[in-house]
Amino acid sequence: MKAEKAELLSPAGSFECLQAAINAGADAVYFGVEQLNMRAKSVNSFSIQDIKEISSRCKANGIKSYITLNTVMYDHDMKLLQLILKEVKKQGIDAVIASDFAVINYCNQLGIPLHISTQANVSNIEAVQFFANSADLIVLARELPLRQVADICREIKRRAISGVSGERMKIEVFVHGALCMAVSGKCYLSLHSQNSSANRGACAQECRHPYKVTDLETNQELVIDNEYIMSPKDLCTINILDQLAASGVDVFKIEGRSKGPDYVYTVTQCYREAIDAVAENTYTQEKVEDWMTRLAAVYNRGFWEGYYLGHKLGEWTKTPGSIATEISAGGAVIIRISKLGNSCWNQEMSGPAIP
Amino acid sequence: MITGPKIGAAKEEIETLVVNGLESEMAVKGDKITFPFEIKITAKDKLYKIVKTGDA
Repeated sequence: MKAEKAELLSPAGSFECLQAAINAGADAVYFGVEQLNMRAKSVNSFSIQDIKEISSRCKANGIKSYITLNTVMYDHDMKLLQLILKEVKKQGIDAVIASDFAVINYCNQLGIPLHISTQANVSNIEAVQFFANSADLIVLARELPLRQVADICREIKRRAISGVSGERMKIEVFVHGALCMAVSGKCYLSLHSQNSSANRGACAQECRHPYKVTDLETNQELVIDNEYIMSPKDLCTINILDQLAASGVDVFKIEGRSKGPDYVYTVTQCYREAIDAVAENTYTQEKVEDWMTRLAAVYNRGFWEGYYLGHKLGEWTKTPGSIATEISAGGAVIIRISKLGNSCWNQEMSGPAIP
Repeated sequence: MITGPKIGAAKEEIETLVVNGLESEMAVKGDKITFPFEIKITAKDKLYKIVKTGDA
């Protein structure tokens, strides 16, 4: 059976990353503004004023833009939320990604298309049916095996479940990037240890640290060597993308709004090529190996296929941070552009020696 | 690699390098360098040298 071509959705944590996603062939980007998004602490978020530029740049390049408003919301957030949604409506952002019922309600009232965030932890067809009254797309929980993802996609078609727009309910899954040690939207480690709520976009990344195990009877401590016991490797599905495409998923999402433009460009480009290859029946092992090599060059904690192939437990990292095979050194700012034209660069060296 | 709000990220291999007005194969901290680049760049862009992790 020939699968429909899925939409490729890339992260945009900055204008650099937005442009990198566009250049690399993304069909859509997602971004956050102010503090009501899941990367509120880890990136310098866009502001409300940036929504106009983001929307116009996406429209000019023929891609869609989705805004994340998927944190836990409190009463004191409502004023800012309303301000953001007013600008979202005005600038024609294609959809809001949310899990809180206040956001869902406001979007429905304002007629703004809505996608249900993975933070809602949707894991079954009845939950999809429930959210069909308010949304058009569900980002499934990241812990579902592919068989269950395929069952949900098939059942949506069999039951002819439509979203609020009247079109068939769509399904989105993560295909690449960081994973949590906990179930989607259910991690309280950072909140309890640092009073910094992951579900308010302020994850302190406690799971990425090395830990000791203490014997409570003897107080003897053991350091678990070569494994960070709560730090999962990164998701990478490019080697099973044909299976994901065949499952009937509509949107493939790349994680990484706190990552740099190099990551966004490389990962988007690889998945663009892979999606096209699957659609054109030119998806080969040789290409997979090339994509894996390129993906390994940018930020990653090592790869596994997540829970799609039926893993019951995560695969854990062996080192802290990225194991990318290439790093970008320097970060020199251009001092002066040559007057000779666009093709020359004149600057004072402040970084490592070249070449 | 060059990154910037208008160009995203772009990578090119340096073919020729001018250091302090003279063609050279090596530049170090404090040198003024010039080299051709295919795409249009602006003063908001940043330059990075890409190195293999083992060579860092």
